[in-house]
Amino acid sequence: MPLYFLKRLMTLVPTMFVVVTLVFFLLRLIPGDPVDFILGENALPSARQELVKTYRFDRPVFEQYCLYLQNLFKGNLGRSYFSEKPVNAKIRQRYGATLQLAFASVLWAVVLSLPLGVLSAVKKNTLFDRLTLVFSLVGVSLPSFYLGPLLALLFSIHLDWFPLSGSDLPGSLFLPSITLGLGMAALLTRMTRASLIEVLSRDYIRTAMAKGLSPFKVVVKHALRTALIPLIAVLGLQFGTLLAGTVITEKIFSWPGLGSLMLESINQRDYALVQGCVLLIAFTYVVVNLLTDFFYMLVDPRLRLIKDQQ
Amino acid sequence: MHQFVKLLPFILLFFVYGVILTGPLLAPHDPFVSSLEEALQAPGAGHFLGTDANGRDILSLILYSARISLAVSFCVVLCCLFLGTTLGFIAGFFGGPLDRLFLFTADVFQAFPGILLAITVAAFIPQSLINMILLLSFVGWVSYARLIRAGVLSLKSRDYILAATVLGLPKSRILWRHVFPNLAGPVIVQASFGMAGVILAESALSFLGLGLPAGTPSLGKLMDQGVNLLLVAPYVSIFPGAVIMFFVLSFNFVGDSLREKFDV
Repeated sequence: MPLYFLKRLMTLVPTMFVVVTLVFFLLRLIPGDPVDFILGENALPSARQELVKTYRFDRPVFEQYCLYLQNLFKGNLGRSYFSEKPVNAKIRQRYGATLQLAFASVLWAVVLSLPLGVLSAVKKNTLFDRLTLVFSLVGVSLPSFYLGPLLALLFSIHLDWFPLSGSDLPGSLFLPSITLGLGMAALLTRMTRASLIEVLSRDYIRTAMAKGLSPFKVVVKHALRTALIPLIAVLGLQFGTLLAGTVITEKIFSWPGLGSLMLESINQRDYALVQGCVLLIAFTYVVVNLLTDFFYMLVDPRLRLIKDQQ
Repeated sequence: MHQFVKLLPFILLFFVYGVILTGPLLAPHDPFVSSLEEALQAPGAGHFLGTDANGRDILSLILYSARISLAVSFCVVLCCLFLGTTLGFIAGFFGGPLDRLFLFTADVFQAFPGILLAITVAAFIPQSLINMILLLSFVGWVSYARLIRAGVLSLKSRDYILAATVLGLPKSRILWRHVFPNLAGPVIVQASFGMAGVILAESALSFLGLGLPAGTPSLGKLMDQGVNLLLVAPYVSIFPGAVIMFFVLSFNFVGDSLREKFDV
């Protein structure tokens, strides 16, 4: 078991390496001079020289790459081209807000999908089940950049219950997090239902029923535990989509997170900052996936056995 | 009756897609002409769905951009199918180092959430219709290839393939006549869900200002404009959003029914 953890931890290294390389070379893939690209063609010669000197654009690409890696190892993401402040500081300011949004959305997803999924599995083929199916089909198909404005129209413009944008007022997390979380809730509802239906048909459930346990106990204590295991993996994978989705949601609600920072820096052609944001989001995704994997092993002893045999 | 209910969404779909594909013929106004005097008119007689901040007719804009959105998605799914089928076949059928290389590449692609990859690359490349198609195909082909590879692997060991090999059929014939038809079901299902995903991705990128170039009408761009006008003119975002949702919902729905039909 510890060996598997260690092996899995080691897979982080090549993955992040590839991500870093990709992000680095993207800027160099653009035809033409990166300096022209960043400053525009009419920049002052002094500004150009300054930029070339700081980022060593006059050196071979491979050398620039090595330098970039070296700095990364020291945890230094470079300086923003635009404001000249360190990228680390800018990102640190915004990271918390994005994490807050992402976790609130996951919370919404779990809180909504568990009861809906369980009830529709237990009440299979009833009206409730059909309605839940409609909810999940609509939820999966509703893009966040449509759901967001609709929710904002209803809850903040018409009813004035929640603030429209920003993150300062109480309740401002509500609309962005539900916008981001609903799609995941819809997906998880479907999977909870399918998984629970499968488990409920197993022999040990019939045994539990036969010995006279209350249906509630059978479902919650016996079936649900098994049914939820595959969902953990889905949760981990979906978290990545959700993290990328923060870019859209943060734009709609002017949420001051990494996503909106990334968009701002794309508009300002501040590629050091874009690179930093992408790397941090990718890194978070990889780490969350790793943690889900570990958690998965912890809750399912059968998997531990299989992995150890490998 | 039951049959009819099942077919109803398909009939509806055909109808709506007919309307959208003939869009430019039906559009009441020219969506490329802006007149500031007519900016932000509420839905009414002259402009059925109102006008945007530049005074362009929203219904006409929707009809034009929906066509583009569909065309882009169709091209992307075709590219993905082509790339994914070829690479998946090669990896699954020949195995060995080619397969390992394939698996490594696929892992790398999926180590990164697809839409984030799309946003990142889109930030660095010039905006154009072709680039959009290439970008989304670049991001999307992996899941098709994985599906094909897995299918080929499981079919390869079946007796009837073995029989075909023993008969001395050439590999290309085995692939096309015996393996491929058996994979068509899951691939069609995947392509249907893929259409939904690509439409979403394209409008999301356009919404973020990273999608189709200026001058090309796009549902995502309309949404972008509409979100900023939510207080004064909610209709600018409500109608295009509904169209995107309709597209995604219908392709997901078709995917679901096909999945049931092909039992995959």
